[in-house]
Amino acid sequence: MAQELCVVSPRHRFPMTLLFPEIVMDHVSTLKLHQLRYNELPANEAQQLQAHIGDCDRCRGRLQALDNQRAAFEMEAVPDAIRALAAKQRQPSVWDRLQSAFRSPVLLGGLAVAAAAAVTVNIDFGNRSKGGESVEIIVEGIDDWEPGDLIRAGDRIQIRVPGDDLEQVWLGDGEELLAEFPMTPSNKWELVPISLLVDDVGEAEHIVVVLSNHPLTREEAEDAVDGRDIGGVEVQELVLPKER
Amino acid sequence: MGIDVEAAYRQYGDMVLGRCRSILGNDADAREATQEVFLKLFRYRERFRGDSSLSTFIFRITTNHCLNQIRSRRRRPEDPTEDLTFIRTTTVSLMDRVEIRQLVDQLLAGQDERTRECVVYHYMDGMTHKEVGSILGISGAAVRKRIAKFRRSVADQEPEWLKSSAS
Repeated sequence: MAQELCVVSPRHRFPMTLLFPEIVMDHVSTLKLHQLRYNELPANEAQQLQAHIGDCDRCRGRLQALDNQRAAFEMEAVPDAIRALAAKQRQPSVWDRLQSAFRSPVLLGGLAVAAAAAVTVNIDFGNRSKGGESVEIIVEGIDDWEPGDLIRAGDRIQIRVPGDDLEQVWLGDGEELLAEFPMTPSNKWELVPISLLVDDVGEAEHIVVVLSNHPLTREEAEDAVDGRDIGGVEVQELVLPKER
Repeated sequence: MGIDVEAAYRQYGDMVLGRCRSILGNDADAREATQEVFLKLFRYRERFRGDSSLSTFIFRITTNHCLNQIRSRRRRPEDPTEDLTFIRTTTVSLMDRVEIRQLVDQLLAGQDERTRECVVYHYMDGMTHKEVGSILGISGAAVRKRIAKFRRSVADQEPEWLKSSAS
């Protein structure tokens, strides 16, 4: 029996039709059948496929099965999860608002206001976070992030830090400190008012966060990163591997 | 390029659901996977540059997602009585079908990600090597090599029950 069903080289006795009973080699591929139904193919290709289907009982049957599947699908309601996602998609994103804030001539104080307004909205988006004990990394739109997952070019990252006694945050990459942000001490975790766009350079994104309960000059913050013990200052370095 | 997820679901949901059923083999998993595919579409929407059609883009996300599901499913025991509509051959007994299904999962899970994609696109979807290559962004020759490697691997893993049925 298995020998008769073998469609691969006689050297390989394994019956591929047993493994893949819907095997459709030498016929129209499943994707092409879908694209034909969706009218997405160039006219000449669609004509060729229609000609094959006209002569091929099997492909005609497969096309009919897809049409039946479509009819059944259209009777079903759009799942709530998809509707919720679409509703979220149609709202102006918090990231857009933050970016607008950065484009405006408002200085850091204004940005802090923008971030404060963003906190609740962002958390409600259901993003998951990971990071060190004093820093959480939030990636836009990821709600199923598991430890070990990779970030990707195009992801937007934001930093959340505990507000206790926090007056200033310096943020940097693996090479230098980029900017400092005054923070208002609070008993909540707060977003640092900047989003970082992941690029496709390198194998990981390095993020350095300096948290301080008093204002630091750039030199002082750099000293802290270099390991100098400064009271009231904590340094967190995060390395997020990228998908290649 | 913007993608309206709900509109995409209405347009391509049938394709995604059907594909999930084909690869995962049961309706409950397929429905769950379909929703997850569109969540991923939302996440990856900025990667869609319009180089290929949206249906191709979604088809690939679906395939990858289902293959990952199979891989993770191997880590937990499955209910062997689950719906096996994936295996629709009339030439084997129910027990054979259960074993075949497990074997498919086992064989695919044992391959690297790219090879698994090549196998599914070629054998399950009937794509030519060139068509597979264009979806994956590799040459047709590279696809051919991966398929050949899979076939060698399959030949090495032919199960005892199948050997006895062939003799």
